[in-house]
Amino acid sequence: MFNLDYKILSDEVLIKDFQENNNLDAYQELVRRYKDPLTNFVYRFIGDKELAVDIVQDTMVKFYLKKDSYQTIAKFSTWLYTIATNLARNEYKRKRRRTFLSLNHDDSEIPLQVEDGKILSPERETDNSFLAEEVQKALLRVKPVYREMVILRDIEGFSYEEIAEMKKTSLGTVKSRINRGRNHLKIMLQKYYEE
Amino acid sequence: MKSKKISDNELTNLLQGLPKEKAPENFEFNLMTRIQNKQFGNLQKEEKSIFWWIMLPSGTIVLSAFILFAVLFNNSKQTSNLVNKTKSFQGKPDIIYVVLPEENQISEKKSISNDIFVKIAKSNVSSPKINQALPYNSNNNVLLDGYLDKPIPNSFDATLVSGGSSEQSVGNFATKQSIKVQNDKAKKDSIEAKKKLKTK
Repeated sequence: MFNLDYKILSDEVLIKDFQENNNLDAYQELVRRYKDPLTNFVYRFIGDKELAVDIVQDTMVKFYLKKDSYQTIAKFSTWLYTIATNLARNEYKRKRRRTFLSLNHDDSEIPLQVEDGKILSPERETDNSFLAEEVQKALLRVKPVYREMVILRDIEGFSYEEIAEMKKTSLGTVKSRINRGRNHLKIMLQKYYEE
Repeated sequence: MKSKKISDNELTNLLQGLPKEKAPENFEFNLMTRIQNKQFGNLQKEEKSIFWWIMLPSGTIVLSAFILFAVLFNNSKQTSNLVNKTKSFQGKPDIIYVVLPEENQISEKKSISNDIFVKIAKSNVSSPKINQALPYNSNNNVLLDGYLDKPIPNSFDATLVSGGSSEQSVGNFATKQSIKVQNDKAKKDSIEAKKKLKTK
């Protein structure tokens, strides 16, 4: 057997190897490549780190189980993100239902309370982690259909075409949803852009 | 303080500047352990649930279509019945007159059975012209009470010749006596006749 360096192989070659030879090394290499970006994507969508890790685990298990459903005509990353998005969306719905039934308020459900700029201390204002926290809160207040597309485009860096393929919608719908999501975010984050 | 609008680029920079969340160190170990132990949870069962989710709406549609069809079919039947009933009220009824000729106008009697016979009138006897005021007002409503109370001009009684039962008519409306009443009457008559015979 050849000692292949999997790091130099493309995703598509690796998935083909995994599909045809059930090569677990190829599978592990793909897991290694996508575990962090997927965790980041799901975390930004759900807003819960532990839950995000669980969802990514499930995504990888599903990828292992349904490897044959991947067709070479599509990009591997698009296919994997589709699985992750569906699982994340299902979990989000479940979470919302649980929140509704238990009457416990979730962080994502609390209206964003933007602190008054005058009260903020200069150190706090320049604190990137604080701003990142506020951006994340604002992101969670955007409608899920817009949010997932904004994350895919602006955080994960997918093209409009790739998102359209992932979501099985038209290019126009993707663009308009991203635009709406961005506008919603801009309104919520306006407070931090005062001169 | 003046507020300026955030541009798309600024927003994108802000989003891209967010710290990248990473999977925990033991992520791969946990995943491979899960795969080796075949702990797939609900992920394997999901196909069945997807199948049921596909079947559920179609089943619901079929069921609702069946119920809708049953309800509509019943309604249309009722409506058509109602239409027929309304028509029967709206249209003037066909009144069949049985004109009994006088004895001198009868040419022959044809018996149909032991009890039933038909009297055939002579050919020169013409049936009387009936110019009957029917019990309808201008709106085609039946004024039944008034009609029954008043004697109707040019009306005559008609008798249906038949075997067992006899029908009497009030105006143009036939009334049928029940068999029980007739039997009682017959019994009463026979008792009275016996009494008369005894007294004689």
